[in-house]
Amino acid sequence: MRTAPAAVWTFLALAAALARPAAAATSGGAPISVTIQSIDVLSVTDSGPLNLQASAGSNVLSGPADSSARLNLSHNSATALRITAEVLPADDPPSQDITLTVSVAGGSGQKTLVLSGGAQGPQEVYSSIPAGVLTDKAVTYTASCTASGTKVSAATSFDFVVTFTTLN
Amino acid sequence: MRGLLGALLWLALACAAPASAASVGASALVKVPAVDLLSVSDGGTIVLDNAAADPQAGDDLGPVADSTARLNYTHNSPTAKKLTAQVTANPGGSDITLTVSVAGGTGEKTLVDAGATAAVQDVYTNIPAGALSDLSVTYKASATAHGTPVSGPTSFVFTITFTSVSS
Repeated sequence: MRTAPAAVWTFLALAAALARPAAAATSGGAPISVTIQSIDVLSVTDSGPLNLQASAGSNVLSGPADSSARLNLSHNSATALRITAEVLPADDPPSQDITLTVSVAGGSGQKTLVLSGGAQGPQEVYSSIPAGVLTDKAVTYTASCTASGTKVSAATSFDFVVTFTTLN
Repeated sequence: MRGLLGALLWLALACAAPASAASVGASALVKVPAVDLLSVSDGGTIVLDNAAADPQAGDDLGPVADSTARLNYTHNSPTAKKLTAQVTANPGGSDITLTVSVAGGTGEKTLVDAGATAAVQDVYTNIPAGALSDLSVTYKASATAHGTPVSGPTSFVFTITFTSVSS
């Protein structure tokens, strides 16, 4: 009878151990954390020019409305949001009596931002907006002034910066 | 216990967080032209005939007035404007005297004097930015029988050019 050396027996035992199926592993539960950021993203593009015109004998200059600006909003607040629009006094050009109005499609209707040259403070242009999106909403501006109140030596552009803000 | 305190602290901080507010600025560009718009409608017809003549005035015909024409003007210049009038087409062949006045203006001005075209006349001065609306323009015409001989009813059509200029 031949016997294997001890080293051979050791090798065979190691090989047998490696060949056994692995023991079943169980986990106590691996947590995965998903964080939803608070989203409140508002964008409004610039308007096209509002070209005012006059007629002989009329002190009022007016022109067609402009609806080229677009408003987009995404929010996921549990509370409905609203949007206000405002021309800040610092953004109201001097030496003019322009009246500027704004309305957002589907919103709160036409609001006066500037009346005869005076900024009117924040105006609510869209209310009760639930979580979700407002997509590609037309923003319509109208403008008018008077010849006596807006004196110019040559054609002049008055650039109003309208600040749109989302609020709870 | 420490976990509960931590949760309460987190809740307090969450409640104290500022209200949601996203702001964006957008441009609204209003273009105001330099306005200087004048319109004057045509006058009516002034008829000078014997019935209109004053028998005590010899062969004078007229004067007879017409206030049909209307003037409208708008400007937004920082500088005051004035309006002038001048006859730019005189048919000739008459001794007609033609005057003009604009309501609220500088009074009666002579455009044609016994058939001769007069110099430019100021008819309205010191007009600030704003509008003159629907102002009456009154023409008066007169002639003499001997100075304007005609074979039959004859019309003399004058063209008056109104101009706005800086005062």
